[in-house]
Parts: sequence; structure tokens; C-alpha cells
Amino acid sequence: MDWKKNVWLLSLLVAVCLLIAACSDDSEETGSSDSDSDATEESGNEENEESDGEIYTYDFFDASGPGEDINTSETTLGKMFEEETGVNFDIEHIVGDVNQKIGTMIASGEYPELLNAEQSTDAVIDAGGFIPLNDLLEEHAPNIMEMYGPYLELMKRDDGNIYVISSGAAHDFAKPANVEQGAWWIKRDVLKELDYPKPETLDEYFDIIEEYTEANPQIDGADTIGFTALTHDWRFFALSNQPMHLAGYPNDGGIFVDMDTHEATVYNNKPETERWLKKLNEINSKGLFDQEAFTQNYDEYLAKLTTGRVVGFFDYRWQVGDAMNTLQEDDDPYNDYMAFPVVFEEGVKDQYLDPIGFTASPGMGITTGTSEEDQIRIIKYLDHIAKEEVQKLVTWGIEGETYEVGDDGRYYRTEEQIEQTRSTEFRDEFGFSYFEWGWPRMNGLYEDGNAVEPPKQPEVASMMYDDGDKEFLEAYDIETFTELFSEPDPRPWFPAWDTPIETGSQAQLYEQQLDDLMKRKFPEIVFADSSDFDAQWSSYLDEFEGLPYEEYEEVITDSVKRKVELVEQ
Amino acid sequence: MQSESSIKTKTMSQADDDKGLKGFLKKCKQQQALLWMTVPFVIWVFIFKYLPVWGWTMAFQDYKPALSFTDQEWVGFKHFLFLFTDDRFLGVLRNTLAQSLINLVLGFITAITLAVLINELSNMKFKRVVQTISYLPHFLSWVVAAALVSSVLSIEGIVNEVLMGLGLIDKEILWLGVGEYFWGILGAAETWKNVGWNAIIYLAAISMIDQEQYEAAKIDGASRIQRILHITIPGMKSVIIVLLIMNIGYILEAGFEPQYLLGNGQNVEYSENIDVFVIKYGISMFNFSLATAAGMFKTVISFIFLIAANSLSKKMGQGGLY
Repeated sequence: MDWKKNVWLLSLLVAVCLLIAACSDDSEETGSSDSDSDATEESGNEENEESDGEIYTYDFFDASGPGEDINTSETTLGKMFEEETGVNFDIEHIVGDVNQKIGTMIASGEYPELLNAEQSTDAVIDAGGFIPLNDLLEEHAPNIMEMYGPYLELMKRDDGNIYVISSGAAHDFAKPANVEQGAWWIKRDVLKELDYPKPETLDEYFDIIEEYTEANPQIDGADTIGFTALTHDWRFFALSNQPMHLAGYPNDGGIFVDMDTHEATVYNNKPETERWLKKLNEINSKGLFDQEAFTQNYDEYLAKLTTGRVVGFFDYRWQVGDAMNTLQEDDDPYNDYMAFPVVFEEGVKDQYLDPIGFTASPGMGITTGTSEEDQIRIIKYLDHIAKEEVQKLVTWGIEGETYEVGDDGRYYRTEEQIEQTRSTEFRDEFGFSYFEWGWPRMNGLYEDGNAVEPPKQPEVASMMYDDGDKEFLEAYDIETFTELFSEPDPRPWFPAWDTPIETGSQAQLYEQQLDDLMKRKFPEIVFADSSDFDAQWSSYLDEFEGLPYEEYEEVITDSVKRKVELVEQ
Repeated sequence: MQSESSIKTKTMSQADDDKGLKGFLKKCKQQQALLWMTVPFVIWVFIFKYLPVWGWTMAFQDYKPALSFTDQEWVGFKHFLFLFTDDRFLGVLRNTLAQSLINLVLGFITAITLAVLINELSNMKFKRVVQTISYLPHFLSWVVAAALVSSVLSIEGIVNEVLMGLGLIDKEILWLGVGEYFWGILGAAETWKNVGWNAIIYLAAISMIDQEQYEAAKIDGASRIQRILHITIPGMKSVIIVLLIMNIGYILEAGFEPQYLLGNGQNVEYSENIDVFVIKYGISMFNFSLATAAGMFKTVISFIFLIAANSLSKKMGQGGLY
């Protein structure tokens, strides 16, 4: 009988212990720095004046996208930086919804030392989660100050403080060789069969799709899908941004910005949007529109693209990267997609390529609760990355290993190096995957004239095309795939979508309500009988008029004008 | 061994009928082992169920996480007003109640039926296999389950294929694209996922029924159906009523994950319930105050339902929870 009593006591003890453990402040974990266990091992080859032989590990939470969680010192680049600065980072990537994850951090007030909060950056700033970096940059970061010099004013918030450092301080413009932004894609097989047509207007684009789909109702035994769209969750803009692009604007978000008056106006109630939806309604009645477009999720959409059943779609290259890369890697050069800059009608100048611009947010910031010494160590690490020779390391890699330098000082890559730097495995191991973007980074051209990003270097770009690519380049008589696209006009405010939207404001409410309204109404409008289109459109307009869009326009206009003023100064 | 003897003395002392503080203390002393055992759970309830009630103050503030309590701005019933004056809130409430009722009714009927059927099986091996298979989906996360449901219901999914093959429909149906179907799909999915799990408690209730009753009924010539109707079901009655009352208290907790994961623009008018609404306009917009206000509203409604169901059950002579 005695042991029974002991079991009871024991379980009671365990329960109480668990309770205490759950309630106690886990200060150990959030403590400023845990000196790494392999500190002693490292100390031998430390000669840097900044580090006293000890290795400091900090947490970096990256909400910009999913990825493998890793300590930076496990990569070649990260190891080099650790040797220089005595600092490494445990990188944790976002899983699931950004707002929810960051919202939890805000609610608890516990942050990783270094944080990229993606679209929730404003909320973290409003909650006082980021520390002002002004003095730190001034005192400890000469390289960052130099690289971001032209943009320092843009980085400042209304209170004059800089909270985050974003990637991509543009120095000169290097036209990309491949489309990286939004475009109208058509399967190459289709283009080949129809003798390489070149669609310029929306009507021409869908005529191609119609012609091909009628002749080929099935691809590989499955029904041909004329046009599909991505509408899942926060990616709905992939269906609602088109009126902007078709009317000849770059991706400024949910508004048109007038080139002269710099007034921002929403377009979701404008004839451009009506025209776009009418076209969708028309192609739907012809059976060309994917019936699952509004119910499929992101994964299903990507999977569908890789099957090769889809004739055309509109999207941003960075959203369909996984699918496009998969198609590129297989042996069939015709089961790839080619991008076209389509507009409403002839005479509209397309603006699909991003103008030179500076996106001030999101970016990485140091959070409150980080001790002063740790702040300095982190900012020095970031400053180290901002050195030009280190920038070349994170973009080009190591000379003789991942790139070569010609006699004229031009950088290039051999075929093996292109192959090597393309493989995901190598990129992870070397650290390109982790350091190439997100950290302090410049864009455009280095002072010696070489492109910052290897794919934008003509010497590299031309080598990257395979025979399949070359067939289409020749057929369209172009050197690079972006040659079809117009040069971007200067828009000093670009992009307007990085405007901070205050939490709890009417403008913020508008964004959410508009998203809900479009998600609810667009399917009804697109799937409606064509005779019913006008009624559906006006019922949508009625509801739209109830949204606080004027407040939203005001916020964006103010921000655009402020940016223009700063740039003109 | 001490606890055992104290239980014995307790039954005896009840007869003594000692009242007042002295009697209370005496009783406490007698049952001290039991009382000590409840301590961790009382602490747990206090920390996790009572302390958070303090957070309700947020509903009356424009809560900003970084500020201290005294610096918060008080706004009265602003967030409740936003909630109740939003055009879509009525629809959201309707969806919540409808989804919940469907789940409640379907959940009860299917789980009880399954429990009775499993109980009637005499082949032990088959019985175990059935039980395991039926409760396995419960352990799938909704993310996985929702992916299964949506692929089964897609245009090229098995449901459309079977229905087309049987000639019941002449064109594939986009099941998740028709709002009117959503409640049904949700009910079916919830049932598939939880029926086996829910049946376990009823199986336990059935196993408490005295076997002699069945033997007596058999001798009296009761058929199998009659035995189920007059012995098994009445024997489960008390468990059914307790669960029913408790579930009615959760009437506004229609669930969140399946609606969030299976919901889309085309069925939003039927899929969006209070929890999804709160995620969109509360948590995602960092409007913790609105989320709290909605939570308070739910709690109040739950209380009303719980008390009503409990007193109704008492009136009908079935005994209540308390």
C-alpha cells in the first residue's frame, strides 16, 4: 500500500513543479547572449580587435519567408563573418501567418534580438518593439551610413528615428535579364505552335489562349486550363493588381499615383477594374477561366502550374519561383513559360519592371530588451556586411571559386560555376540562401561597373540561357527576355506600398475590408452570366462606396509627396 | 491507505450530521488527503481561468501592447459598437450558431449510434479494428485534414468522380465554391474526424450498464433492437445529458481551423464565423481590444445557454450539472 501513496505524492510534486516552471520568468532564455559552447575552440584563431575571443550567438527571426532554420556559422559565409566579428545568429524562419506570429511577439513583449517583421513592421514599431538605430549607425556603422547615404532621410519615420534597415540600396540601374516582377505568362509550347505570336494588348493575349485551347482541349490527357489565378489568403493582389499594370503603372500597391500631381487614388472602383473583370467574365463564359481559381490554395496553384496544363496566367515571378524553377530544371524546354508586358490597348507604355526605388520597410531591426553591448555587436556585424568587399562575397562569392575576373576587371562565371551556384544545396551550404537578401545590401552596380547581382551582369546572363531559351530569344529577335519590356520611368516615391499604415487607423481598416469585399464579390462578378455583369458590378460598387477609401488615399498621398520632397532636396 | 480509511469514516460521519464551523473543520481534517490533491488543480484553474479575466479590461481600451496599464486609453464600448454595428456581424453570428448546431446534432447522433453499434459487435478483433479506424482521424491536425477534404472535393476529386460515374450529376460540382454547401461539408468533415473519438465516452457509459439487465431482457424475449432501445440508450442517458449541457455552453465555439482552412471568397458568407472574424479584424490587425470584446460577448452568451440548458434539464427531472 505504501508505494501507492508515494506515487500520489510524486505525481503531485511533478504537477507543482510543472506549474512553477510554466509560470516562472524564463529570463535565462531571453538573456542577452549565450556564449557559445565552442567559444574556447574558436578563441585560438581570433585576432580581431572587436572580439575578445568569445563567440556571441543571437536570435534572428526572419518573417520574410519560410526556410530552413540554421545557425549562420554553419555556412561558409557565416563562418567567415563569425571569424571577423565574433558574432553568429540562430536564424528562425516564419511558419504560417506573419501577423499572428508577430502579434504574439508584441503581446508578450518578448522579441529575438534581431527581427525582420515583414508586413507587421509598423505594428512592432507602434508597440515600441524596435530601438532607434540613429546613434548606433552614427557611431558604429560607417559602411552602412555610406551605402544607405542617399536614403537615410527616407528611412526615418515621422519621429525622425530609423528603426529598420531594409535590403536593396540602389546604386545605379542594372536592367535584369530575366523577368523578376509581374508579367503575363504563356506556355512556350503554345507560342511555338502558334508561330511565336507577340501579345501586346489584353485582347491579343486572350485570343492566343482561346485559339490554342480550342485546338487543344486536352494536354497530356488532362483538360486544358486557359487561364488560372492566384487568390489565396493575402496573395489576392495577384488577381486585383492587374488594372494597375494594364493601365501602364508599376506595382505601387492598391493605388494609381499621378505622375504630375503625385495624388494617389484607389482604382478598385474605377473603369480600369471594371474592364479587367469584364474580360475575366468574358473568358469565363468561353470556358477559359479556371473554375478553381478562387478556391485553390497557394500550393495547389503552384502544383497546377507545374503540370503544364495551364496556358497562361498573370503573376509576379517571385511568387511562382518554386513552380518556374521546377519547370526550368526538367528536360522539356517547351513546358516553360515566357513573360509578356500586356496593356489595355496600344499606346499605353508598359511599366512592369520596377523603377529605381528604395523600399524603406520591411527591413531588419534590433529589438528592445537587447543590452547595449549586444546592440553594438549586432550593428557592427551588419556594418561588416555592408563593406563593399563583403557585398561582393554575398552576391558573387569567392573569386576563383564561384566567379572569375577578366583582364578588363569584368566579373564572369564559367559554365560550371553557373551550374554550381544555381544548385540549392550549394547555395544553402555556402550561405547565399541566407545572406544574399534581407541583410544590408546594395543594388544596381558596384563602383567598378560590375552588376551587384550576377544574373544582371550581361556576361553571366548570356551564359545562363540554354538552347531552349535561345530558340525563343531568336524567334522574338531579342537578347534578353526583358527586352520586350519598357524601361521604367523615374518614380521617386516608388514603391508607394511601403507607406506605414498606423494600427487601428481607418486606412488599415480599409485595407482589410477591401480585401474581404473583393474576395467575396470578385468571384460573383467573374462567374456571373454575362447579361448579369453590370448588375453585379454595381452591387460591388455600392458596397465599395461604404469603405473609408478616402482616408487611405490621403495617407498614401501624404507619404508619396513626402518622399518626392526628400528626393528633390 | 490513509485516504481509504478516511473515505470510510466520511460515510459514517455523514450520519452524525455535524454542522457549523467545527464540523466543517473536522470534515476537512478527515478528508485532508483529498483536499491536498485538489490544490494543484485549484491553482491551475486560478492561474489559467481567473487571472486572464483581468484582461477583459482591454475590451474597454484602445489597447497598445507597449504601454503600461495606466497609460492605456479608455474608450468605453467602442469595440462592442464596432462589432454589433458591422453589417456582417449578424451573418457571422448566424454562421456560428448554424455550424455549431449542426456539429452538435450530428456529433451526438453519430457518436451514440457508433457506440451502440460497436457495442453490439461480438467479434472482438473486428470491433477493435473498427474502433481504431474510426478514431484515428481525430489525431490528424486540421491542416492535414482540410487538405484531404479539399482535394477530395476538388473538381477532379473522388467525390465528383463517383457521382459522375453513378450518373447522379452531369457536370462536376465545385463543392467548396458553393456557399450553401459549406455547412454540410463542415458537418460531414467534423463527423468523419471526431465520431470515433466522441464515441469512446459513450462506450465507457455502456460498459457500466449491468449485464444482468440484458440477460433478464433476453429471457423475457426482448429482441436485439428492443434491448438497445430499452436498456443501452436509457443506461447512457445521464452521460448524454451531462455532455449535452456542457456542449450547449460551447454553442458559440463552432471551431476555427476547419472554417479558416476550408473557407474562401466564394463560400465566405457561410464559412466565416466569430472566430474567423476575430482573427481577421482583431488579431491580424493587432486590434487586441476588439478580439477581447468578441471573447467577452461569447462568454456571456455561453453562460446564458449553459444556465438555461441546466435549469431546463432539472425541470424535466433529469438532474443538471450542478
